[in-house]
Amino acid sequence: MAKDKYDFIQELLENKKLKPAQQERILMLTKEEIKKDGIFGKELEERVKKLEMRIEENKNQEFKTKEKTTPILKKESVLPKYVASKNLWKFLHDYNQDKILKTTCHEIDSNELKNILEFCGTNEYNFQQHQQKVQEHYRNHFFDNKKYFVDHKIKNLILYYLTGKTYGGASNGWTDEKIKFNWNSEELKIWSDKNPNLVPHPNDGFAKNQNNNYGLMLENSIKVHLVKDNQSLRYFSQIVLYFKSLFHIRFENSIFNIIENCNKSNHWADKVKFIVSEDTFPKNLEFFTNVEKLIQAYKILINLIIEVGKENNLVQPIVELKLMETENGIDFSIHHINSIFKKSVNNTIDRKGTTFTNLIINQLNGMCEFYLKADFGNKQFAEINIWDGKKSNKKELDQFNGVEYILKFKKR
Amino acid sequence: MIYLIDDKKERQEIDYNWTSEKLQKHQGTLVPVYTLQQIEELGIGKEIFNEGNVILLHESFFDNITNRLQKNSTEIRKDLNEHVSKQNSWVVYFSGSKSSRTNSGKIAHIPVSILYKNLEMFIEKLQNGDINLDYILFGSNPKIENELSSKLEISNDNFDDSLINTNTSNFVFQTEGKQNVPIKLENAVKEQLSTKEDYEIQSSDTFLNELISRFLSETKFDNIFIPLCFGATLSDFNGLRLASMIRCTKSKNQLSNIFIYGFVGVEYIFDNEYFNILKTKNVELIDYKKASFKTALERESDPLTIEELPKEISKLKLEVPDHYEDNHSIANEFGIYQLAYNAGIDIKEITDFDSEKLNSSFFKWLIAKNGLFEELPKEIQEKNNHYRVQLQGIKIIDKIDLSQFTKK
Repeated sequence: MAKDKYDFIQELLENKKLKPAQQERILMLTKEEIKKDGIFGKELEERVKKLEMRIEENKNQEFKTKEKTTPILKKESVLPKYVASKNLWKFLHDYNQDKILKTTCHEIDSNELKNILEFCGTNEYNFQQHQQKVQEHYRNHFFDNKKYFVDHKIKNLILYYLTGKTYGGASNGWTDEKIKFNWNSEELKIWSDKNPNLVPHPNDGFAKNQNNNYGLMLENSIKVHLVKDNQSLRYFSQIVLYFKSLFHIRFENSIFNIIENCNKSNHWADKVKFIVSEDTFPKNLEFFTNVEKLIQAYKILINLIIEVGKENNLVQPIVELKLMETENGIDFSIHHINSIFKKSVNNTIDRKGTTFTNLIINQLNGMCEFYLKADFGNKQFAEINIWDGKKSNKKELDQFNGVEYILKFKKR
Repeated sequence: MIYLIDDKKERQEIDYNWTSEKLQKHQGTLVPVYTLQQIEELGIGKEIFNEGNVILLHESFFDNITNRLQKNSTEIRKDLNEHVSKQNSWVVYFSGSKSSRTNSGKIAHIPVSILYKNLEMFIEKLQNGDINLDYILFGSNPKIENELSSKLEISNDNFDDSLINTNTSNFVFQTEGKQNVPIKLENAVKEQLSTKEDYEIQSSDTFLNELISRFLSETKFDNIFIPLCFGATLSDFNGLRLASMIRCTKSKNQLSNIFIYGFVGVEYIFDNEYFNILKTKNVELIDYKKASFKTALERESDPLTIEELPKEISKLKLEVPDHYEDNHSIANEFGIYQLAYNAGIDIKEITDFDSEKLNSSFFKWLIAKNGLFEELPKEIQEKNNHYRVQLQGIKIIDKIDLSQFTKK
């Protein structure tokens, strides 16, 4: 009887009409069914694994066909297909360097104007022409380019910023702040019609050359909070620079400052004692990543630390934050010093748990690798590669204090 | 030595007015570099890294295809940071994509506009043996400028920019660039305090005078709003001087209400020469908030009259400008002005008198506190005409023939 049930489930899962989300739901129910039946034979386990992989492949293909808004999953979901973070680094680095696309994340000066005119094959600046070239170039050389196998969220974020729509046609804004303003906005079009041949995002020096015209000033300023709390974006130039700050970490847009801002706006100072010093968390490290996702991941981990503390009546968490340059990239460490990990080593390897799984699906996959180094209690100390494209494994340690979450941003 | 490494020559020359001539002026101290090839040609590849040097590097210099090295620009910057940390040298990274200023002592990051604005002053300081990257970040008063620029930024972020409806007529002066006040005032005329010229000219008396004649001489406004800080140096608090000049300049708006909007309190401006303008009638310092603009607009005040003006202006105490040798020379020139005024003669008709002086805030103040901008009363004008006929000047009757006289 039981066997028929599983055949039925398999048939169901192989039905092409089912969407990945529906397949995922069925798979979850299947797992529960397996547990209920007490059957966990090797063969069955293999079948479920194969199905999981197939669903994940479908999921990764899905952004090509349909925009998907990913809600925070309440239950533990199936882990996605691994996407290497070095792809993201390269994708964003190349975008930032691209001859025409860099004009979408930098203010324009006399030299840049020359480049734009050359690229557009014209003698006079025309915003519509510039915008069209930018959109075409992004679609052809970045969005659809197989060379850049990166998380679709960042590809779609940029697509929205440049065109006002995601691939699937969603138009509810870019970033969590749902910024509607984009390169296709009507306000920008009206401004450029009124100011033909003028650049809407000049730098201060170049503005003087266009009759002290500082470019488009928005009818209503946009409030953003990610990099700096309560920041107002009033000029198109400021939007362009804000966009850059969402993917290029460097001295004046340092993770140190962004984290400080995040801690302040979440009022964590009375809940967590942070140890952060510029010696171990240098501001001058440069890297390319999805800053918004990075901060989301950071928030999730800090909230996890707070919750664990509360649930176990622990003293106020002491968290040391470190940023280190490695041969292959950057490591960001969130080290909860006065704690013990509440699951055993083996259990952590076998089951990632809801928080980690959701973290991987929604934030980490494609952005960074994820490691856990901890005191697991009972004199068990180990480091586990939770998410790095390889099977999770433990590396036993002689001694370790607390629980350390390490996000590894790879450039090669 | 300062090495200015910037591949964007057009930007340097056209956008920031650092022309070859200007660079030439500083040739003993400043070495401009545009390409990697130039570094090789000049043979300065090693010299650049000598102790005591300051490297001003365009952040993307090594991203430019003509300047690429085996290492990418991030790695080069990392090496450079390590190098300057180990010895007595400094590096400043500048870029058009930077919007904030940061300085860790030996390494600084600044927007390109700030670099070229403060470069001349930085060179001067360095020539006097005063090396401090804050000068290139914030100009001559780095501490206070840093404080003021971050306060301005916060005030702008916190500003409620929804529309204020009003029945009054208003003129709003705004600071140049993207840090201008985001006020939205119904039917107000807004103008930026900006010029295409150098930053220094932007706050000169001549420029302010031009603004008054350009914007405030045709239409009468009930209220004029002025930023407390504008121009190259925020801590000059030029708004106080502009307000003083408006009061001292004969125009349709000489008596309009003046509101100076500032993001710092009076404790910052007590020792400013023009501070006392705030003690005069209908000149007020207001907060950098929408609510304060609203309150100012709703205020019902007793209008200032031309008769009250000299007494009010006397509250302002200005020092004789430095370029006058002493009080006598200013007294002499003002004496000439007064004589001409009393005689009903246009001062511009007196050829030896430098009428440009009349545009200076000091001269304007002298004229205003003495009430010399008013038309002479008709009675005095008539008396002048009467005496002028009687006092016709020297008459030449004949010549004296000196040859008739012999030396003894």
